[in-house]
Amino acid sequence: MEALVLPFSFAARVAPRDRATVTRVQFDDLYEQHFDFVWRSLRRMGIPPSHLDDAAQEVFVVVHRRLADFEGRSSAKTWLFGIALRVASEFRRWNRRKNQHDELHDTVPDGAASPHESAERREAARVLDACLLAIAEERRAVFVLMELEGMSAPEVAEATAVPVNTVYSRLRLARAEFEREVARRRSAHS
Amino acid sequence: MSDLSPEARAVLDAGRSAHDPDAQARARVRAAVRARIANTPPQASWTLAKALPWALAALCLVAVVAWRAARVAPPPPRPAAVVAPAVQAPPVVAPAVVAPVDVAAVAAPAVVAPTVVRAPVVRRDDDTLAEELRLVNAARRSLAAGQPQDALRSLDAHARRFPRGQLVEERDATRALARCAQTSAGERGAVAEAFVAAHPRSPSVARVRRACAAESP
Repeated sequence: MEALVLPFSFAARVAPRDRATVTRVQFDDLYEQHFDFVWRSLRRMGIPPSHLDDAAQEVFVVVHRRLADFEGRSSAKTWLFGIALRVASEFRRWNRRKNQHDELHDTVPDGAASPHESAERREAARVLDACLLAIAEERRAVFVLMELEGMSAPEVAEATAVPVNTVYSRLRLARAEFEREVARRRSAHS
Repeated sequence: MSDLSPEARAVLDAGRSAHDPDAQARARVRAAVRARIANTPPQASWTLAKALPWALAALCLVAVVAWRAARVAPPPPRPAAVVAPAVQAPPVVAPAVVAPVDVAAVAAPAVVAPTVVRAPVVRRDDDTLAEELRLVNAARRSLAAGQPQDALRSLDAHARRFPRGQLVEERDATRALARCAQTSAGERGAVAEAFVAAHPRSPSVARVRRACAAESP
């Protein structure tokens, strides 16, 4: 299988570390346990469905190169989210350069689910995506981790590299932004 | 800190699971990551490549010193004292991608070209997974296009080639969906339950049950 040519690449700029410590078992374990989390996080941080494959691929290539950095330093989730944030940020920069804004609601075939289920899932995802996008980026990360992933404030502080007090203040503001968008959408549809 | 309103909470709860990847996305990205990882050289080669220029520089220095010593009389050459500083020279910054070093070329000093770029080695199981994906994807496309019979043909091909493949669960789920799309209402429940019995812990259980309940050929 050929390696994909990615439209944006964070991994290309990440120098390999002590690869001798990277075993296939460690990497495979991380992938198995946390792929879904990485995928969801990228989506919730604004990566459109059409680029999720590439972005998730970037995250795990970086993970492979930097696995030595991770060991014993932090929880896997907070470490992975930090990488996912960087990849999402790279994507946004690339997207701005290309002037291809807001592909978030493009339609990627959602498996072989029935039309009914696909529509239902897509609509739920679309509404949530739109409400999340109403939250400023730095606050969205906090909101996603605490409200959707159930992480504690100290964990979020580690994942986003900000003090715990800042996490709480960002969460408060993010909740208000989310509420406003939910209310706006409700009034628009009533 | 104020909590979310019930309405906002409902939006969160409804969309929460809709962001999860499916089995195909997991397998697809995994194959792509493996292919990219397979194209990066192992650590031992990287170290050799980094050390090689300095080893060659040390050899040259020794040769120059020996030549000068041969021209200048009595004091005997002291190669050990001369070699040491060269070996301790600061390391070069590693390039982002370093070609693997051909050990045989390094061992033979007469050969000047120190590195040989090898063709990328891609794991055999990546090829296999890619082929599995191709067949299952073809089935999914046929199913989405309203051609369950074509989907079943692709799935049969997958079953023949990969009876114990990595995408068996996805194959069986797609097969259940295809069969539900072409059987009578009375039989669809049995199709769904046969899949559930075979893969009781599959994340596709709810999808198959819902789809088979909703189908109306």
